[in-house]
Amino acid sequence: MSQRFVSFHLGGELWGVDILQVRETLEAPEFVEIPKAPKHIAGLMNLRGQVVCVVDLSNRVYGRSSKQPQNVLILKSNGELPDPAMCEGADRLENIGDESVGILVDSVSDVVQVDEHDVELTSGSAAEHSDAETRFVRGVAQVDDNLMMLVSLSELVNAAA
Amino acid sequence: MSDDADLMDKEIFDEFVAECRENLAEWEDELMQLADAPDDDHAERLHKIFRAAHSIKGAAGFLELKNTQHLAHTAENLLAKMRDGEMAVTQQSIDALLKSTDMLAELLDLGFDGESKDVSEPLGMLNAILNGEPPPAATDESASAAAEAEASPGHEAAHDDASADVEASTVDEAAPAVEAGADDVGAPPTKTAEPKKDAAKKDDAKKDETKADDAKKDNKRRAESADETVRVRTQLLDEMMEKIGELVISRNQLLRRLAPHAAELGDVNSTLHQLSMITSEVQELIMSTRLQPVSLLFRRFPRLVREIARKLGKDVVLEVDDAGAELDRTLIEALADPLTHLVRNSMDHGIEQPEVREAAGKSSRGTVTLRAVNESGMVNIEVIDDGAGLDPVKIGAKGVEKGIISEDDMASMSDKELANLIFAPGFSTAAAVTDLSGRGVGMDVVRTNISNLGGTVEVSSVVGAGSTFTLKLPLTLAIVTSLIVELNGRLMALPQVNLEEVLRLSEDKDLRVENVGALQVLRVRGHLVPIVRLDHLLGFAPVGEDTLQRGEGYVLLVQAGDFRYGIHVDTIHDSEEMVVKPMPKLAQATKCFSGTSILGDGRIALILDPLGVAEDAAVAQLESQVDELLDDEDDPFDLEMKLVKFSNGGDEHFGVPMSLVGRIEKIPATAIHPMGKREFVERSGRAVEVLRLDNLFNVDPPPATPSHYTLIVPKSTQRSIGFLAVGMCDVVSASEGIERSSLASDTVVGTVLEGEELIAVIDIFGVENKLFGDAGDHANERQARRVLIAEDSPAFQEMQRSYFESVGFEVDVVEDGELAWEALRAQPYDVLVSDICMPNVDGIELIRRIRQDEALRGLPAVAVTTLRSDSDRDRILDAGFNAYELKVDRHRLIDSVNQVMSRQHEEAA
Repeated sequence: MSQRFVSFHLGGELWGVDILQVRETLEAPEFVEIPKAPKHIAGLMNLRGQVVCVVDLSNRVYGRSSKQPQNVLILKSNGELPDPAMCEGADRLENIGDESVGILVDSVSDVVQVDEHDVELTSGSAAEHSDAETRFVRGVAQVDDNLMMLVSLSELVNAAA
Repeated sequence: MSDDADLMDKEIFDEFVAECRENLAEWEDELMQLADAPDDDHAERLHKIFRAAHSIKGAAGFLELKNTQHLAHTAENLLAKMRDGEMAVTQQSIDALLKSTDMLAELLDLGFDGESKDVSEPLGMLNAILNGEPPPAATDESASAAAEAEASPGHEAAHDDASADVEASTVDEAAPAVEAGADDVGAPPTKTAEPKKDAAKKDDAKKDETKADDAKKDNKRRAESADETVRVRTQLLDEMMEKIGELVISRNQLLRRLAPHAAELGDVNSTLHQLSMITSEVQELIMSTRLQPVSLLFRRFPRLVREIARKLGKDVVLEVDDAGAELDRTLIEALADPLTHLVRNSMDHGIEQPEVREAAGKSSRGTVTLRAVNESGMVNIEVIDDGAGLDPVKIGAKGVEKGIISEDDMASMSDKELANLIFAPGFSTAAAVTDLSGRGVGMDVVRTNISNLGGTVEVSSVVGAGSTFTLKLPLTLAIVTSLIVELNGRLMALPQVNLEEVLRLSEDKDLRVENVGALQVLRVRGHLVPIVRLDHLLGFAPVGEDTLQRGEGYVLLVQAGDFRYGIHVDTIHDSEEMVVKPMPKLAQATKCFSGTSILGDGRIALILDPLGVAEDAAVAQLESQVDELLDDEDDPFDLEMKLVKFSNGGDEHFGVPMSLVGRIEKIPATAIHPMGKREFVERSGRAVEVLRLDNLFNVDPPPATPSHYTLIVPKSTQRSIGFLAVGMCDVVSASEGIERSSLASDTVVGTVLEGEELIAVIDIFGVENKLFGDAGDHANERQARRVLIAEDSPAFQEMQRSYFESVGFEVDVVEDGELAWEALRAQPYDVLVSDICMPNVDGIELIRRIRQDEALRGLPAVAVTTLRSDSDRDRILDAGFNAYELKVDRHRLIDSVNQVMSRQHEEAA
């Protein structure tokens, strides 16, 4: 696991995702709503000719959407990720084949470098976490005076909403 | 040489192995065909098989896979003899050759590790047939010696007194080997043609050489006429595919942007046109590279069926009917497993033992048929067996036993629905999995696999006759011409291939959406076509007024599979060729869409799947309801009234006039949410309050808590309410009219006798008022609402009277405008329904007076007339009527009246 994360704000808190997982970030466009889709799906967007499904991260984690989400992080598809030997138990999107997924966040912040010792991964499987918020956190990292929560990608698209 | 082998590029190795596999597949294929019909194309097939074996031998030789080479060579020998007619095609030889292909496949998988594998079994089988030859050892030696000689030209083989036969055949084959086998490396013709014998045989050699030369020429010709192919990395093809998709989008954008400037462009227009044509052609060509014949998928099954049949002791023959259907390459790989499972399942559980079949009067030989057909951007693959079929009763029972469905469910499910339970998760137990039916997978896994590919699978069956499993798959990355439409501000696209017609709604009776009971239908050339409301189906939040109700917008006449129905939309845009991108996994929330596309202007449109919509909207049911209702529909003199009859699961029956029913839906009990003492269910983004019959009336609650209810939602009520019924609803005719008997109350209009049963007709508005009645303004509504009908024709008078009474109104009838005027001033009425053409004072004059009168001006008034021109209509509405209806459409009339009255309440409130 690299020690560099793309940090972003969500629900007033600081979150991060491994930089190796992020393809790009951009301003949130208007989404095309998907009929009958669960509330945490923000909709579809046109990414230079590719149709990408975007998850409303705030809704997913906190159960309600943000008022003014500004950015979307486009995650790499599984095919784009470096070799699985990348790291043990790599956190990746499950059951999504080779698709790209976007996550809607409040605002994207800097890329932060975190020392190995300052990162702590949660133990145990996500299923143990009944609390929605902790279910999507796969660890925390100390960034200056703040605690940054690391988003769990595998839980992101896990169907057991 | 072996050092070189270690250093050999892995890529080259893989390529050779891949090619060997292809040859092996062809070998097996042709062999199976031969096995089924030994006299058919016999020689040609043997030649193909021979060539395949020969190529494999050559490649193996080059790769230094001695074991493989050896086995291939021996097989090749046998094949040569069979080809030349020296040996017959027998079961034994076929078995030996099959065994060899199996072993060769294993060896190819093992690569260099295969060198240590024991290949004596197939080898022994082959040699046993090649009987009459020198003992195995000698033959092996000379065979491998000759092979070595070919592979390494510089190597001089110590050649003893191997039989002339073997030698001659070696020489004969050596030459063709060089020409026909493109992968035989490094053995220049001259060297191999050289006999390895001593000088004494030189003359013979010369003769052989000429023979070899001729053979060489023959084979060269044959090699050239065989398909010229080239190997291309699939990744490259995928990239091309993506690029062409982008090219199409760019072309669309370009055309769109330049379209308004066509006049100024002059010559450029034709260049643009050419560019567009070429783009389309390239697109087609590239798409065809991805498509492979479905027969590739089917090719493994003849053998599979043969072997399983043998194992099970059943007599089964496989028929393949692929009509040249094609499928995207990736799908072919992905379908192999599920299809195998289905075929195995058919043979295991479907086809009966021969004795059983005979006892049932069937032929002892069972048939499994594989069929594939391309249809409108999809591929339909069917696995059909003429076996025992699926017994819905047994399956249903099993479903109940496993807790998948309840007994109630089972009672309300159709045979087809029950049969499809086999796909439900948890249905198949481990016990049912024999080594025959696959690696511990059940039908639910098959279904999951197919859905992941964006397809569907279902089964239909007749007990005793057989079953048909149908897989439907999309051709991914298809480019489809579609019509872009808009509904509630959302852009959607309908594939042109499913679009029959576009009809513009208007007030003209021929193109008006009519309400037939709970359905909306459109009359098209004498047929009633049910209309699907996508906004309801998909929960679109309403935007502005309901355009369908206002008779605005368009109806797309759609044809898909067996279904024919209409889809209502607000606006029609252009038709476009669009690249269909499959729906992202996370977005697959409904089966109504087959994918997405990016339009010329960059916006995303959801592409409708008409079959999916048909299923979701239960069009089949709608269609049959329409048929049912068609019989005495719209005879204006027909006084029969239809009721929707339902119950609470007990013996008491309730009814609601069909014209007052907005929707009937089946909902799961879990969808009902209590809020305090009230209960709600969410429908189309709105909360509908559900009313239980045992709460409203003096009846028992349902005997057992049902898993599903039928929700009956009335039209034109102020509140959003629905009645909860248990079980199915029926439509019955109330030919005798409603009897306002002792049962009448503020919530019951009266009773109807249908056969032996008494149906209590619910006064919907009475119920509404009882539950929600606001005190004050609406206190009057506790009593029946009063309508004054002004109509000069006695027949219409009676018809309307009866009709309004049946829906709970108190009716007074007068025959001209003057009498109406007097009546209105004498007593209070809630609404006026008036004809226009009447003696004395006509409808126009009447309404004018009403609107000018202090007391009466707010009276809701509906004009009912036969005048149908636009100008008449305008005149009537201008004069002051709130709504206007044609005499013959009584369903719309009651709707209009209700709407007009509730609008008045809104305004007054």
